[in-house]
Amino acid sequence: MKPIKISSLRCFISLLIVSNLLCFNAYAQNTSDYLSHRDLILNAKTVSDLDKGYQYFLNSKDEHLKTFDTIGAVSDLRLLSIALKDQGMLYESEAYAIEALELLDKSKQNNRIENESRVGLNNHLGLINQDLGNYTAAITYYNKVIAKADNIASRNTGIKNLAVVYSKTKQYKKAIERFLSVLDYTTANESKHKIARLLDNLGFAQSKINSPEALENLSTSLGISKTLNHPSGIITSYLHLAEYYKDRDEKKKALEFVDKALAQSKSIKNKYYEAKILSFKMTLNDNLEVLRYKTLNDSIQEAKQRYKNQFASKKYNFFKEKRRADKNKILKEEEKSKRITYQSIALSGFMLTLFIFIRLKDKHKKEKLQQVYDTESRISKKVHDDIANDIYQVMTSLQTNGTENTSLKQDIEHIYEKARDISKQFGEIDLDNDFKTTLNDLALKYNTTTTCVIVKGISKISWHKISATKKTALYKVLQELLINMKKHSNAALVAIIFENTSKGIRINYNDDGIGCQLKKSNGLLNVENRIKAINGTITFESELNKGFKVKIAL
Amino acid sequence: MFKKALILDDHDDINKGVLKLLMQHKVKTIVSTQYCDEAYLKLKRATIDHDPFDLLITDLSFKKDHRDCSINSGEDLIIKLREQNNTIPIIVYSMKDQLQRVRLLVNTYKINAYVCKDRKGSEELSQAIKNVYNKHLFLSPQVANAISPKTNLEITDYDIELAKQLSLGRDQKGISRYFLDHSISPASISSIEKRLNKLRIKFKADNATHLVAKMKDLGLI
Repeated sequence: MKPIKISSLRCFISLLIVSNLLCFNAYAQNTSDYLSHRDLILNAKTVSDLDKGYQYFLNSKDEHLKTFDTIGAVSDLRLLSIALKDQGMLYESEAYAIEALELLDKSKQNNRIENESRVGLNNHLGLINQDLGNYTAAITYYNKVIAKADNIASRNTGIKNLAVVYSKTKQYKKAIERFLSVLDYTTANESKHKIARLLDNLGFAQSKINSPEALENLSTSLGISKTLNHPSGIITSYLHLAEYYKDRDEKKKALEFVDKALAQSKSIKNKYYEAKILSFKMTLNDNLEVLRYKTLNDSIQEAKQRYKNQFASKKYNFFKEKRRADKNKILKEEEKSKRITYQSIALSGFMLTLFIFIRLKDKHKKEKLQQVYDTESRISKKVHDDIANDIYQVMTSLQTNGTENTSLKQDIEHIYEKARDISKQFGEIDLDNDFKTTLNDLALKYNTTTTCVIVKGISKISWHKISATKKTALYKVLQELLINMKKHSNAALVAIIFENTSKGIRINYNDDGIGCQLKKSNGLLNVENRIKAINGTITFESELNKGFKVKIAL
Repeated sequence: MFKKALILDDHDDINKGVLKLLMQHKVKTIVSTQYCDEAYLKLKRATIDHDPFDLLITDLSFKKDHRDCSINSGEDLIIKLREQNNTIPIIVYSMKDQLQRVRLLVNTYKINAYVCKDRKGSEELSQAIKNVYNKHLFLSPQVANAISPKTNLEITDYDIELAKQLSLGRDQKGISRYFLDHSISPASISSIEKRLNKLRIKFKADNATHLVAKMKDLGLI
């Protein structure tokens, strides 16, 4: 019993004294730190003691939750709840107790320690609701205590607390019934303090229904408290006796007890008891104005308290709602981020497929192009080795045999050149060496005394970044253009201009030759197909006597 | 004149033609073969027997047939010989005329002549034999460009800038001043004049205006 210590921290005194069920013995985290802070809450002397203890167990709870130590967290929550209740923050206290109960429900281990915690928490919730005036809820909690308690002491505490609520709600018969059911056990096994309290509570209830045992029980309780020299017990007994006589219109006797209670409370210097007693004394007054004042003051105080409770409840509900809203928001955010994750996975999967598809298609195209080049080089080699060489042999033998037929010689020489041109046109291109030099050499072959070939910007292109197929195509196209130039154009000046563009490279071929009427001759069609095959664009531009211009973009 | 020559060509008639030519040059011993591997062994053997060849005339490209060869082309043979420090004079007689190939063989593998099998092939080969005997390099006119100092056809940025300034109406003095201001060198009037004359010749232009017009038509400026 510590009503004086704790109750003095709040302006709320119940004359019907109830019991706490504090069995923390089962779960012990035996660090001195833990024990000292637990003591700060259970035997608080000032508000700051409660604050210190509150902060300590708030941290301790988080730690325990992180390590999935349910029992530890529940124990912390109980202490937090008690600290808050002692400061009059009943709703917050209730929240912690409920959180602890929820943790216990989740753990589903029905061992003794957990059951003990569950019983203790239900009792605590009963006390809170009793303080709040929610008697129905309090009754429910106490009934749970009675049902779940696994020892007689805890069970009896539940019964006694339940009886007090009945008494408060003027259901005296029910209260008496319950008090009596535990009387024998208490008398035989419990402390004198508890016996005195039980008898006092019993006597009070009995006095309200004119039970003959009432006075005796109240007097016995007073006697025990006196021998124990227990001030709060004595004061309570005096007040209950005063009320007993007041109910029976024996004002004089009632006043006697009131004055004794006053003297007792003055001797222990307890203002709250004193105020309470004086307030009761007013009801014994004959002065109508005093009585009126008392009634008014009581109803004002009651209204104030009700308002306070309502406000606290609303405030608490607001925070509860906010917490739930925050939780929902977090859940929504999580869902959203999950959705985004899935969406991006799906998207990247799709992109990957597309990428692979394009790559494969591209690869296939490249392979096909490479096949074309390979076939061309094979044919070129065959033309070179089989036809051109054979013709050259004929030429040589004609020369060595000293034939006089010059026109025959010239014809054969002409055929030989044609064969060699075909072989060159489709021959393999050396891509292992510097491509700039390869291209320059190509132009160099057509740079004669009559035709001047000028190249611009060739060294500004990053040739190593351009694929082999593109290089091959470009080489063959330029070769074809130069062969055409040599055969048909009579050009004196040829310019091949290379330029870097944002998309790739641009090659312009211009000559000052006789030009031609543009038609898709076989040669130009070949050039066009080669550029199209590597996704490039090509345009031709020419008029008679105005040169020949080609624009290629890769 | 050369005393002992080896002819390597997979075409019989060509072999005969070359043989005839060498005989005209009074080469005493002439051996011919159609396979690179065989040529390599003959060369080796002769060296071991202290009767080495003093001339090799070879084609570059060989047709594949039923025989398995470890040396598949004239280039491979030349590379192998030169890597073994064989300094025998070599005349390449080929239908191919890629300049890069010629440049590589002349500069890196020190061949002594490159003759293109063309309408004047026999004449040029004859000239080549003489030149090589006198320790002179011979290249057919088609490939002579390969190692000429003026192989780079790329027009310089300087020339382009010069033409641009002309097109803007500047005279040589003005261009000189402009080049000085923009730290383009050479900026002296005399070097600008010299350079312009060279460009005029190259573009076959009669005067500066004509030069600018031609370069514009070609898309160079």
